[in-house]
Amino acid sequence: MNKKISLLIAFTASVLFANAATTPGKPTSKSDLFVPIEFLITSSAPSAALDKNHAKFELKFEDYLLNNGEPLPTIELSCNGVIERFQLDSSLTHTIEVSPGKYKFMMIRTGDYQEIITDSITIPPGYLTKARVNFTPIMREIEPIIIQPIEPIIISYKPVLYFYSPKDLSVNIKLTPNGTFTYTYPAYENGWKGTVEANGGITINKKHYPYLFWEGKTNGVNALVDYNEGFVVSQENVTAFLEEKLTEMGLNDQERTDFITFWGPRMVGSEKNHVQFLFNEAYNDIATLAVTPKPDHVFRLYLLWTPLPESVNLNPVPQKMIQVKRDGFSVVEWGGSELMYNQTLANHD
Amino acid sequence: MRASIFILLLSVVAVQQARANEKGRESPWKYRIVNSSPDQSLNKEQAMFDLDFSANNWDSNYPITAIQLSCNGVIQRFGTDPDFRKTILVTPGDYVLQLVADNSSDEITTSSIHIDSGFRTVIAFQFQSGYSQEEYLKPVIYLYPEKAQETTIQLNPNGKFTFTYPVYKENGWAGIAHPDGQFTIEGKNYPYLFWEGINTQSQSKVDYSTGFVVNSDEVTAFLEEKLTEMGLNDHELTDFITFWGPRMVQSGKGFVRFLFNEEYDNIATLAVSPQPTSIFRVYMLFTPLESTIELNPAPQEIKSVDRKGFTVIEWGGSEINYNETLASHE
Repeated sequence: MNKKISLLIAFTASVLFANAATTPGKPTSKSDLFVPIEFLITSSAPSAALDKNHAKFELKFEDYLLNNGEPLPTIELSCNGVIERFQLDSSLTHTIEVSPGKYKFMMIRTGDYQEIITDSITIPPGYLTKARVNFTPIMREIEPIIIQPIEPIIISYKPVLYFYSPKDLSVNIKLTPNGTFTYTYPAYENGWKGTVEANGGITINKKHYPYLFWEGKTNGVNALVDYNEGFVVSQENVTAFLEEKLTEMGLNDQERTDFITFWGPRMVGSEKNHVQFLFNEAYNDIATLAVTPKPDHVFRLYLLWTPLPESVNLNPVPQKMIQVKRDGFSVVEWGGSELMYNQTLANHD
Repeated sequence: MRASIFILLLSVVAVQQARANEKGRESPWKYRIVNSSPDQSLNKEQAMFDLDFSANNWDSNYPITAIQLSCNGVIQRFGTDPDFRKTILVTPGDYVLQLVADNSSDEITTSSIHIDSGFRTVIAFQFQSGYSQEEYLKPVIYLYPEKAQETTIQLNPNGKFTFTYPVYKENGWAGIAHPDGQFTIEGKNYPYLFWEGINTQSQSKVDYSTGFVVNSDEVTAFLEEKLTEMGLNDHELTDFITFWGPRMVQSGKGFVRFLFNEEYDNIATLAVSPQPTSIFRVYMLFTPLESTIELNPAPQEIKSVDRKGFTVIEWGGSEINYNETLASHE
């Protein structure tokens, strides 16, 4: 007990006691009753590198907080009362050479963490004993910090563009997202330039692609949703709903399957969903598209999908579907975003 | 005596299995808004997030003892237990929450969440436990018969399906396969067969000694090279890259290892009738790596498809957390 207190005073007096003094003391909920594995021996075996007069402990510091880019902590380690202080290096490992025998460790680290005190551990001659160490943060009331909002950024997922032409056709495609690209395929280099093939797909730099793909972080998507319009779709109806609507729009087998196999697995993860589609001009708020020569028809479809909390009941007016036209040189694009339910928008309805 | 112990053991296993299946019905969601309603205790300049962790599987081998939370970049750490609720006082507006739990190595980042003046919004979080489950992402199957023919495909995932398209019926997918890759079921055409699944019991063991370390700026070129070497066609290659590319570029570097053919049976077994002349199955195990982790795998030998006669191609993949124990056993 005396040892423990002296160790604490020696090392964390400033940190720990200052905290105890400034924070109103009470540990958070019953977290203080929950005992984590702070010190766990993972292996103990003879090592060829050690002779009969030696033994070695290898401590691996596993706390996930050690791997988050912050400066590595200083650790004070007491081994049978012999105190050693070291800065942890990126290996997160510390070894201690000892004579065979019984050892008891006490450890503290910088930051608000609980002290670790082990039982007495016996290490036989020539043995290497490995253990993992997890420091537990000290629970305390955190002073309420008022956190400020930020401009929302939403991912525009997997927009793909399909091109159809009755004859081979050189094209130039410019796509400008209201935000930034995170991935394009083939690589978007100031545009996509290639040849739309009469028998499908597009050739760029002698490589053939069935469609063009982009993904981006886009601004302002949150504000586009209107809960008064669209559909409420339950988990079990996702596939049937998408099949019905996409067929009604006139998407072909390839486009429909690509859409459903992308969005279906995501949407079935939520019990209740609001779905709204943005068509054509409305898509310009996500990204503008310029194709030369001018296509006879461009059809752009964007899904706004919002998983709904169980308690929310919406009664949107069913949205009217718009159909794809496909004669001549035509372009079809689809994409979408997952949005979080927005209480403000719902209240304003 | 021995027999009775064995039976007892079996029944214990069976009960555990049944429980696991029960639990497995839940979709692998990571976070969701449970409720959002006005709270009298808050004034007009305030709003509150109420974080609920009760949905987590509090596996005693991998207890979640601490969570690091970043709310619009403001970082807090706190300890937690199964009943713990964490509240965060904010001003009304838009927020992105990012959470990391120890012993999970699963990071959850929410989409932008709007919170209104005077509201309390309850959000539930569910971390994937350490190394005990695996999601099978987007396996797709393409069939190329020499002539249109009735075909049945039976697929058994090591785990369970979470989504199939077209819908996988009791006896599998049955329809007409066409030489151009189209598959017709009840008058509807599909360019490929799609499934996703989850194994809630275990995870593929990644062998770090052979494979590839890929930096985020090399992802596209790497995949193009390897998939071309495997003999995938333009369509298969583009479908693969546009699925995995965006995911892989999110981590600075990653470890890639492919499972070919028989090795794929550990993920799912595939039976096609009539028997195809050639079947090629490739499954990618992708492990994001922290910048401090150095792996020097021997390049994996790439297998390739021999497109002779009735050909079936399948590809899929999983994202698997880095497992230090496996790495150090080499």
